[in-house]
Amino acid sequence: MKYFAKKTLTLIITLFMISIATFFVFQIIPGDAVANMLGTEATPEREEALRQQLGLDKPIPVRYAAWIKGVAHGDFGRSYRYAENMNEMMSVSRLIGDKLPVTLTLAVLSLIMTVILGFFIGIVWAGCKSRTLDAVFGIITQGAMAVPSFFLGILIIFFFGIILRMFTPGQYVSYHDSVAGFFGYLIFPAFAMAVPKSAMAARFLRNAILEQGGLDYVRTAKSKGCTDRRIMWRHILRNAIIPVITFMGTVIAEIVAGSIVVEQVFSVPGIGRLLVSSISTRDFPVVQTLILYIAVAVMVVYYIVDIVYGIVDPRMRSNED
Amino acid sequence: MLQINNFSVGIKEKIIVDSLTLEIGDGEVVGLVGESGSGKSMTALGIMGLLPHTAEVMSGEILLDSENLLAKSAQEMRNLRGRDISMIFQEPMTSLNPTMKVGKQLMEVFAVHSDKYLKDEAKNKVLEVLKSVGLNDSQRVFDSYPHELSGGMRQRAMIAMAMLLRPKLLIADEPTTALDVTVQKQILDMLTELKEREGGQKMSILFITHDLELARHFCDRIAVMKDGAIVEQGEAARVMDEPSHEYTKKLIEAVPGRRTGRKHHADNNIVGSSRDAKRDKVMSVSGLSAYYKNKRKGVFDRQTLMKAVDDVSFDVYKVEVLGLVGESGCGKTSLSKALLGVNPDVRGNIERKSTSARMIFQDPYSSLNPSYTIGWLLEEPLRAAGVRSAQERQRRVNDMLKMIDMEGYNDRYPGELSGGQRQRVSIGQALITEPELVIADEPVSALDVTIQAQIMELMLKMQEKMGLSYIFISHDMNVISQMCDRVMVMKSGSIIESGSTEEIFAHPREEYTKKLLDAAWR
Repeated sequence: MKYFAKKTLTLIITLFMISIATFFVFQIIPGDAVANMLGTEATPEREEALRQQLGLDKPIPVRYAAWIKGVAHGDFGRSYRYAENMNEMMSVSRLIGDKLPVTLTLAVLSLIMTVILGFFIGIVWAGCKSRTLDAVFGIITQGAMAVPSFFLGILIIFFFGIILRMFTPGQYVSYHDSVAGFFGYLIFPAFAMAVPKSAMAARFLRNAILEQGGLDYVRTAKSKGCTDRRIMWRHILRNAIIPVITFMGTVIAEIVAGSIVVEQVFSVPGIGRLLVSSISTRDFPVVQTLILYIAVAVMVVYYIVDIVYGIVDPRMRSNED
Repeated sequence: MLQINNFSVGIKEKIIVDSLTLEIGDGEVVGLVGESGSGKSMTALGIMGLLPHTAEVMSGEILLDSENLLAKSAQEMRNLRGRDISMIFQEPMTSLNPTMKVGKQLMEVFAVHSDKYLKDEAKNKVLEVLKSVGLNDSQRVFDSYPHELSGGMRQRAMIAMAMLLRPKLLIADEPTTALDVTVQKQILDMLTELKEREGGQKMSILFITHDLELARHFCDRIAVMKDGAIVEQGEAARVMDEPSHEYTKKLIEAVPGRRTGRKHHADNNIVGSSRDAKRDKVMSVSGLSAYYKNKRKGVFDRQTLMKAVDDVSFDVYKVEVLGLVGESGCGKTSLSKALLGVNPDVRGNIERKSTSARMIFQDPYSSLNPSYTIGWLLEEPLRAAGVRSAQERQRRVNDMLKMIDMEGYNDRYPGELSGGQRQRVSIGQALITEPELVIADEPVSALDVTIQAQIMELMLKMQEKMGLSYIFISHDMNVISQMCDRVMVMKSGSIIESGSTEEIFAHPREEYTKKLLDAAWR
């Protein structure tokens, strides 16, 4: 139990550090949001007025305190660029609110696909006795690993979209309109992200299974009279999963970040495009919030990986105690 | 009960087991003795039907109660394994599944071998068998993961697993080799007892070992194996006392501890009564304590230190071999680390003459970097010691290769050498900078007996040539008796007894020393 409590405490501390880092980095990097907003109409007086209006004249720690207080209440500030109406700028939470669920769904979908595909291929591959088949698996996974997701995305659009007409490229379906249509569309970009990752996961799992298969405890299980199937499912797999879990942790982080590119290819209105444009226009409240989101998502995933690790491998728990 | 006729196994053209014929009667313990690579383990795996995929049975039959095991299907063999024939393996640390509780692993035997079984009943049986192998806290063991148990406890759990369904034949492949001597004895005594206690049909045991003394002590009959064939078999006492085959004689001669004390320096006044104060000291240790850091419990806890070596004082004289004995965990390795200066958490005084000490390690397989040649590996200490001239280094490497009988091996890689040859290289590596003191941490424990003898001879030869001193760490009293002039016995971080080898072996004062000597069975 101590192991889990310790991991939770670590998570909280890390999240706090991340919030500080995200805030302060954007105070340091060059580029002035005020100058950017006013453009050619900038005069010293106007700049001063806008600065006061945005609260940028206060010292950094005070601004951090105000920001983090807002974040705790779900208020992420207002965009410098997008206007709600003539008088008011749009709030970041409204701006992101629509897009975040899309990106999250995309990430979760591709993660599920990675796990299913990776485990299925890995187990079948490890179990295949024919040398030819082994080589075929090797070539296919090697190839799949080498193809970048965005290029795979183009191939998928061409094959599934244009030839097979299983979806209409560019015709994103919002979940407000049709949940089935929403998933029916997202499944393809998710697949584009899942293919290279699942190829890697399959390789990892296959190697781990083969390695575990040669260990002494498997011989012990055989000497007890266990069937091959029992040895695979009860003994080998649980041990072989351990390195794969670590690997999956890094994959999930990559999926969250990688969705940015794939969203562009499939014209999915996720946070990807918003992030890129906000960085170039120095729309700091938006960028801060998105970075915070990505960092938190990755940290939470690592936390979950640690917890799963502790459940699967009893040695982890007692090492930490 | 078990009858092996003309059994041969080959791996890729090479014959591993060569027309082996062996019989084991009801309740009989037969020892299969030989050096590593002689085909002992392959024979055992052959009986179990667990030969590796690359191995092929070329001829013969294995009859268990007159049924040929080699003719049985995979399914029939699975039913037999764990029920009629069980096996205990050498490595207690790795032979259990690390992610499954010990109890569950034992229960699995029932799950595999009976269609319906009552869980509670099976559990009671498991607990009972765990008790019978000396694990009195059986409930705790049942609920533990393997890494929570010691090596000895794991091996007991393995034995319990093998005994669960009262097999007709138990194959024990070096079951005690990886364990401390005192634990070794307990485990073998327990096996004997278990064998006797089974009422009705008696269990037979095929006992595989490289240790002749162990086989004599434990077995009714002994078969000596060499290059896949049995060269001699017979009553245990007969084979040991009147060996008829040359190879058996060689094996018996190589067993350390047949002589007391070292003959090498017996008439040399360097050793013996001359241990007076005038003799040159190579190292003088006084009041040495060494610590290691405890794992911190929480992030904010203070770092605490554990004492591994407790107020130790001794001197090492020129040209002597000082033995250090004790079981694993007694602080031997911590002491050697402190002497080398690797451990910073040390209190006390170490006075050394000039050059620092060098070290020889136990495992010749992993202590040499496999990606460099032997010549390079030998040269490296010279480079580190600042010998600038490449010619000078080359000359000394070649001299050293000659001295360790490895001339011309410059361009070979460690992977191409045998364990004995690798240990020679390790010795060469330690000695090439001509140190005055070498610490050898179990240098022969991982080697076969005949190789052991060669390595010890080499170490003594080098001592005479170079006039160096050894601190020789071992858990094996027999090796100690053959190598050392003086012995220190270590227990829980302290040196509890020390003296000349003759004194210690003839008149041990401490109970613990007696126990160590007793466990060595000579």
